[in-house]
Amino acid sequence: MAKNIIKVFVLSAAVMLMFTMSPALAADQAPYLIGVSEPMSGAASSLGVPVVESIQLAAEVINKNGGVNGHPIKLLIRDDQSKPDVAVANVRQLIDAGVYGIIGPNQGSNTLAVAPIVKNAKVPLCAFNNTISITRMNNPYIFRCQINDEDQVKAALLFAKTKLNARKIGVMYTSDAYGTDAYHAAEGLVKATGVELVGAEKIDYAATDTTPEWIKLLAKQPQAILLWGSGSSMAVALRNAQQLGNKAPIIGGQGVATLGIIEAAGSASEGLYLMSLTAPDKVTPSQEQLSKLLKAKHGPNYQLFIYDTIGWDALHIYAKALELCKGAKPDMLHAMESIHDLRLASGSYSFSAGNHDGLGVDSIWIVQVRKGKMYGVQHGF
Amino acid sequence: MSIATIMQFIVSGVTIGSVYALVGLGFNLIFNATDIINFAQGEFVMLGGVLAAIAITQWHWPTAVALIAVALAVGGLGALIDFATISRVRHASVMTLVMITLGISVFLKTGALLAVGPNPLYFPPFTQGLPLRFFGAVIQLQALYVVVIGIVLMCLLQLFYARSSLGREMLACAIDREGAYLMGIDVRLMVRISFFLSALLGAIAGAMITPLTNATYDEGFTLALKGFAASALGGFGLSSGAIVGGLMLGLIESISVAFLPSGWKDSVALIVLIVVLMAKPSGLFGGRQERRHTEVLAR
Repeated sequence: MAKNIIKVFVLSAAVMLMFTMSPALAADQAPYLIGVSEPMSGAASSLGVPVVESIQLAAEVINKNGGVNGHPIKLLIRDDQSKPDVAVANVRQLIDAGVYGIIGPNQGSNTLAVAPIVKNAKVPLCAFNNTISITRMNNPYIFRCQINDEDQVKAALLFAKTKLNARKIGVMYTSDAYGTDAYHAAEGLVKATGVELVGAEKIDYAATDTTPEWIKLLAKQPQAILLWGSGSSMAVALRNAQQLGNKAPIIGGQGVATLGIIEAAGSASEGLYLMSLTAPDKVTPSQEQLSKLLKAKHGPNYQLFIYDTIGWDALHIYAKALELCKGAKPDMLHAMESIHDLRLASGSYSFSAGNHDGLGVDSIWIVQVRKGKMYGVQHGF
Repeated sequence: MSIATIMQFIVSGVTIGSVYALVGLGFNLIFNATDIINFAQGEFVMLGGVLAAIAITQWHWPTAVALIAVALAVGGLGALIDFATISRVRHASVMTLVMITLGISVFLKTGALLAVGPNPLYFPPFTQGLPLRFFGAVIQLQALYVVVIGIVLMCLLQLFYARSSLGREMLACAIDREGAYLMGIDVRLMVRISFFLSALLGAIAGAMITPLTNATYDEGFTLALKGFAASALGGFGLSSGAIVGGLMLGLIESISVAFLPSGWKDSVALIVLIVVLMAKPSGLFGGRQERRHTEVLAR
C-alpha cells in the first residue's frame, strides 16, 4: 500500500514538473522569425535567386550552431516578382506574421515603395540596394546591407581615369531608381573625379533592344562607359554594344555582376569590368565557409558572387542584432545601430544612429570578366 | 549627325521593325478568322526564342533542324489552343474569347518561367562572321537574316492567299465568314489553320531575334504590344498594313532616339499610333471592314 502511494506521488510530481517546464522549454525553442522579400521571378530574379539561397544557407549554419540565444531562426520567404506593388504586399504580410526584421528588397524602387510601411510598423529592413536615396529619406528603419552607389560610381570613375586612362565617360543606365540615382551621382562627381560626361542614355528596365541608345551614345566617342542597371536588359545592352563594334571599356554596376547576365551576354562580356564586393578568384577568410557550402552545392568550379555574400551577411547581421537585444523586438533598432566592425563575407559592417550605410569604399572590388570568369583587378579605394 | 549614324538608326529600325511586322501578321491572321485579338501572340514569339535556344545549346540540334522543329511545334501549340479552348466557346462573346487568350498568355509565361527559369537564353547567330559595313553603319549578319527571312515569309503569305485554294478560302472567311460557310468552306478548319500559322510566324520571329537580344520568359508582352501596335497602325486585318506598320514602328522608335531623350523611345511610337488612329481610325491602309465595304462597292 505504502509503495503504491509513493509510486502515485512520484508519478504525479513528474507530470506536474513536465507541465510547468514545458512552457519554458517551448519559449526557449520559439524561433526568431525573419522575413525575406526578394525578386525570385521577373526582371531582377538573377539578383534575388542567389541571395535567397545564401540566406537559407546562413540560416542552416546559424541553426546548426545552436541558433541565436538558443532560438532557431525561421525564414518567411516571399517573391516580390521584381514589382513594387508585390513588395508592398509581401512586407505587410511579413509584418503581420510578427517578424523581427525583413531582408530585401533588392531593387531600389521596391525599397522606396515599402519604406513608409516598415517605418509605421517599426520593423527594421535590411535592403540590398545601392540606390543612394534609400538611406537619405529620414527613415530610421532602413538599413543598407550593401554599399551605396555614390561610393561605387566614384570608384568606377576614378578607376576609369587612373587605370583605363579614360577621361571622357559615357553612361548607359536603366530608367528605375537604381540607374537614375547612379547617373545623377555621376553628374555630381564629375568635378571631384576630374572626368567629363560626354553622353548619357536611359534604357527601359526590361528593354529587349537597346541598339538606338547605343548608336547615340557611341557617336559621342566615350573613352569608357558606365553601364548601370540590373535585370535581363543588361545582357541585351552588352550584346548590342558588341554588335555595334564598341571598343570602349565598359564598367558595369553591381546589377550587372551576376552569373546569369554574364552567361547570357556570352562573348559580349569579355573584358567587362564590374563593381563588386567579391573577387571570385581571391576568396577571403570571411568568405571561405560560404564558398565551401556553395561549391558543395554547385560544383567545385563555382565562383562566389556578390549576391551570394550579401544574403549571407544580412542574416548574420540580424543574428548579431538579435543576440545584442536578447530577442526583445522593441530593441532591434538600437541593436542594429550598435553593430560596429562586424566582419562578414562582403566586408566590415558598421551602423550607427547617423549612418545606416553598412559598408565603406574599403569593401569595393573591381573585377574583370575573362572567358566567362571574374578576376579581381582592384580592391578598395 | 553623320551619314553613318543615320544609316545605323535605319538598320536598327528596319531590323526590329521586321520582327514587329511578323508579330503583327500573326495578330491579323487570328483577327481575320475570329474577330479576336490574341493576347497570347507575344508568348508564341517568346516560345520560339526559348525553345530554339534550348534545342540548339542544350540538345545540340543543328540550327536549321531546331528552327523548323520549333516553328512547327509552336504552330502545333497554336492549333491546340484553338482546339482546346477557342473552338469550344465559339459562340461566346468577343470579350470572353479575348479574356481566354489573356489567360493562355499568363499560363504560357508562367510555364516558361517554371520550366527554364528567369535567366536569359541565347544561341549563336545563324552565320558567324564579322558584321558588314554599309555607309559606315554596322549590319549584323543576323539582322540581315531577320529582314530577309521576314520579307520572304511575308511574300509567301501573300502568295498563299493569292494562289492557293486554301489561302483563298481563308481570305473568304476573313471577308465574310457567314458567306464563306454558306459556300461550303470549313470555317472551323480555317480558324485552326490561322492559329497554326499565327503561332508559327511568331515562333520564327522569336527564334530569329534571339541571337541579337536573348530570349527571356517575360519578353512576350512587350513584343506583343509592339506587334499589336504595328497591326493597328497599318490597319487591322490587312497583311500589307501589318508589314508597313511594323517597319514604320521600328523606324520611328529607332530614329526618335536621335532627336529626343532615349527614355521617350517607346512613348513616341505609341503617340504616333494614337495620332494616326485619331486621324484615320481604320489605320493607314484601312482595316478589314473598309476593305469589305470597298470590295462590295467594286462589284
